[in-house]
Amino acid sequence: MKILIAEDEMISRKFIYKFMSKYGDCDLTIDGGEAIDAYMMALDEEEPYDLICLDIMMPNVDGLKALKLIRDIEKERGINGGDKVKIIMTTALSDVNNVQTAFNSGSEGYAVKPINVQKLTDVMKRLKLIS
Amino acid sequence: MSINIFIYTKKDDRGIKEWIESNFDYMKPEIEMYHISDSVNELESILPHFSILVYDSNRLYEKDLSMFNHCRNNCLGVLMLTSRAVIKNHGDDFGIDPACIVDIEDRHSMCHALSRLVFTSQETDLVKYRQFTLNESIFNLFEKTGEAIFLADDNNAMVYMNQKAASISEYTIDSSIGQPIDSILKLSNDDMFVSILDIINRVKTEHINLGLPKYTQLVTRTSAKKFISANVSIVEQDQFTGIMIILRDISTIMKNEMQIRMLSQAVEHSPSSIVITDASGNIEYVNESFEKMTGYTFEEVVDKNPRILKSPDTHMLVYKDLWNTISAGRVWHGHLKNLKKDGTAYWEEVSIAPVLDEKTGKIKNYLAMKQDITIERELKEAMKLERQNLTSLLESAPVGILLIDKKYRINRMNGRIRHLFENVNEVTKLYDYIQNVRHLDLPENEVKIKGIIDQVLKENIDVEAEEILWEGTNTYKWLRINATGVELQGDHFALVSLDDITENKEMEKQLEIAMKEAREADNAKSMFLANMSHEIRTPINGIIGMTELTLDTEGLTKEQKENLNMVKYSSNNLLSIINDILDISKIDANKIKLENIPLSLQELAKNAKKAFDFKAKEKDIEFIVKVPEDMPAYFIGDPYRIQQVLNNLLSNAIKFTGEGHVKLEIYSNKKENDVHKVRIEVQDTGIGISKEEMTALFESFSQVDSSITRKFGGTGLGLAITKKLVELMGGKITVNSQKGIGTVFTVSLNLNESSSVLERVEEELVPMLPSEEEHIKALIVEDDKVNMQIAKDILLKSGYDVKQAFNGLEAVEMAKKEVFDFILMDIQLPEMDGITASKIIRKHYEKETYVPIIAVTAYALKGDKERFLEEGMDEYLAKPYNKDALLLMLNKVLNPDYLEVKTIYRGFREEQFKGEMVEQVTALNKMFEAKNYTAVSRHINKIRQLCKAFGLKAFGSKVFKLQLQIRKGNYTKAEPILLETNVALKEILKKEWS
Repeated sequence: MKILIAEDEMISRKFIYKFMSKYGDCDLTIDGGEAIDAYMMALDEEEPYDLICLDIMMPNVDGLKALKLIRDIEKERGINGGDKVKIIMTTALSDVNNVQTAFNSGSEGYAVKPINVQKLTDVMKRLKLIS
Repeated sequence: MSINIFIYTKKDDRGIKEWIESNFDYMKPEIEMYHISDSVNELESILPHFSILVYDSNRLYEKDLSMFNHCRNNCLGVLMLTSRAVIKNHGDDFGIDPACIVDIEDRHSMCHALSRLVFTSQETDLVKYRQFTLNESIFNLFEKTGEAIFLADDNNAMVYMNQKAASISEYTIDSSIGQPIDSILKLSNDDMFVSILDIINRVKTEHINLGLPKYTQLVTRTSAKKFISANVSIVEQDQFTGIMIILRDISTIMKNEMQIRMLSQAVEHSPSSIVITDASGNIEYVNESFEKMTGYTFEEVVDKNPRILKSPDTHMLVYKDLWNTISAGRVWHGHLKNLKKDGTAYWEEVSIAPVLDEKTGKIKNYLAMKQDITIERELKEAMKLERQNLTSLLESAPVGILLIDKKYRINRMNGRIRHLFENVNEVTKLYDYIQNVRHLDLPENEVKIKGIIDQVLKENIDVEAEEILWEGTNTYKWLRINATGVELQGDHFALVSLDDITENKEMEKQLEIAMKEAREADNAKSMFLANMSHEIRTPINGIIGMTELTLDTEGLTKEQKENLNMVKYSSNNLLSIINDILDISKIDANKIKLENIPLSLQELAKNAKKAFDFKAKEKDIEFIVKVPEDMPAYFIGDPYRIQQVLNNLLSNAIKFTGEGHVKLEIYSNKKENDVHKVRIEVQDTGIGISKEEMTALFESFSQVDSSITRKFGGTGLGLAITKKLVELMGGKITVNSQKGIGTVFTVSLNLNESSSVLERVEEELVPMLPSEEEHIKALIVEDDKVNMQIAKDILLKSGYDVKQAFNGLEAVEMAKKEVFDFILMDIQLPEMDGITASKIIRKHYEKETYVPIIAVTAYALKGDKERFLEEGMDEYLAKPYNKDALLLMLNKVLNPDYLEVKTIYRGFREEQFKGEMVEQVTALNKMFEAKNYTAVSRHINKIRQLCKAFGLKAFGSKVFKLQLQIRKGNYTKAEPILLETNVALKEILKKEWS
């Protein structure tokens, strides 16, 4: 499994990376812009990611914008259904607007910080990435 | 003397019989009634026995007339009673004396006519009277006397009357002689018939002389009435025995007498009190009003001096003046305060006039007319007082008051106004002065006060305004102006109140500033809170995550594991405490916004079950969740806050329950429309709460027993937060508990049922169009006319200004003439291709704002785009493109951020770019060798920026891949990528950049 992690805060990034490494090959990006670049590059090389973990509060391009862009690109390129990348939003923001926006923009999972092993495992299970 | 009267009538409803009986009772008449409808034959047989026929018929028919004539021939006297109309129209038809035809309504004439008939029925020989002569000397005497003299014989037939008698009665002597005396002397008193025969009879029977009752009037032939006095006496001379009536017309005397009577009545009953004294001032007369006014009766004051009424309050000089005036023969007017009999004082308005003796011209009497004016004086006094009060009220009112008339003149003002404008010393200048009132936002020459007065007086509108009055260039007053129209004595005025509110205004201003500062501080505080929540949670996040990961690693000793578990437990505790504190501060600062979105109570309960199942099992407590299935699937509300409430209550319940169970139950009752009354119950078999403890239960920072904190942990904020959240959601929380048995918390909420689950809406990107003022100039370079038309249409309709060029050369020429905001450049063009043209244009525009050039081409081959971008085009659009794709592209390239980045790198000449690139890549290699990966990352970022600016996408991707490997610390994988990068750089440097 190819996983892309976008998280500006170092410790959180490392934690998610360590957790996710069990399940696949991870790439690390530090903002939404890099995440989009990495996503596009993978698409172009025809080795797309299976899962993207997006933090919401990030510099340059925030997680919600990145989420939307990714979904737009998929639409543009005719990527549908199961071929679409799974996206988990992670954030300390527990306010409902963001959750709602995230779902509206097509994220599949949502994990409110503090993210712990349990929460991430739950989300992964829900997305049927692990059993 | 007896008489029989026959009444022949149609109807006996006029009371004729009774009337005759009562008026002629002295004659004892026999009266017989006969109805016209009765047999005529019978009538004929009885008629000769009657002396007088009274024929009563309202209307006269022919039959009646013949009957009447028949009767007439058989009777001595006939009296016809009929209506006035008949008399007027047929009076002459009967051939009888008109005096015998009488209006039935005229009882007076009827009486005379009847008495005459009675008389003639007895003595018909008139000749006899004409032969009556007086002794010559007596005749001369009678003729010369001023009195009217009538002589009647023993049968009351007139035998003599003198000239005076004829003139007074208005009958001629000839026509009167032989007539019954009462047909000439018809008397009445106060409109009542008086029979002269009655008086004559009394004179005869009692042998006395009689006069007439007072106010007796003679009714003359023409029905004029004259007051008369008379003397009736018996005369016996020679063989003649009869009656002499001496009569005098006293009308003039009576008229005077009546006038005097009227005047004296007027004086007597006058509403004014009237006093008449003699020349020395002693009272001769007072009227009723005087008695009423003073309480003295006439008897008590007669012959006394009016000074009995004198009050000690009236100054002596007043009386002196009074006497001086009236004794000099002039009239005195004035007001006097006097005393009544009972001692109460009263005011009177007095006029005293002397009455002079007509002959001597000396003062005979004094006449005083007085009017009680006590009430008027008191009223006047009260009104004066009231006016004084009103004036001083107006004067000292705590608001300035002006009364301004139609000509803008100040009619009246009060003390407050004088105080407000104490620097204005003349009223006439004040009006001009207050014209300096300006509305804050209106031009200087706007005359506000005049406008206000016009509004009030001309448009009848009440005005309320707060205005500035400039008193100097920098000094001003804030005035509150209220104006309304008033009508005083028929004139319209503007009543204007002015209030100096400068202080209030200043205070308002300061308050506003203070409020603004407070709001800013408040905002800062809530921003701080929001930041804190992120800043605090992030490191705890790290602690918890890392601890968990470490716990997952293999080979940990038992002790290490224990220690790490303690770290995890403590961190989680710390996090929940911080969350509580942040929550309660947010609630207290009113920073919590509730959501109104669909929520499923089943799901919330399920979440709770999942969250607390483990804890319950740990403590060996049964955890029951009961949610009815027929409950609506979705409500509208804030799912996160309701979840928080559930979690708080359950966490408490489990915390305080040692054994038994914890039960969560949710009920819902439909109320009306879609509103449901939702009840959430959390029941436990825990330690319970005593009544005393319950009061402090929901307060912040309190646990029912401070020792509990130590035993059970927690901040004590949970219930306070829960209660506040429930109340924020418009609900109620109650608690029911028994110490040692258990506790039930009940939350009641009113929630609307949601009709549908929220649909996930895919948001469409909508391009933004330029506004009308923007004028964004586009240059379209395109050789195909159809494509040109399409592009032009899209841009024009979207609000862009468009110029067109059909080949590269033309495009360059046009770009040299004017600066465009962007260019749509076809690549394959005649004369000069798009890439060459773009390069020339860019060079030409070196010093202008950056002009984005979008490559448009039908080549849709892979790698085309990259090639064009590397050749210096900014973006790429494949033909055929749709409208939105083009417009979104324009949004992108015209974005100021985009242009800024482009502008920064524009200055980079090719050589500079190559130099910089070489420098960066060299440094990158160096750092990689030195294993300084932080620096490597930094250089990679720099190189990526350069690539983006110059459209070197492939090279950029290469270095980004390198970056991703470095991040992961995968340096062995990074090395080959670095080598590839170096090769790729050489390719780029070799390339010709024209």
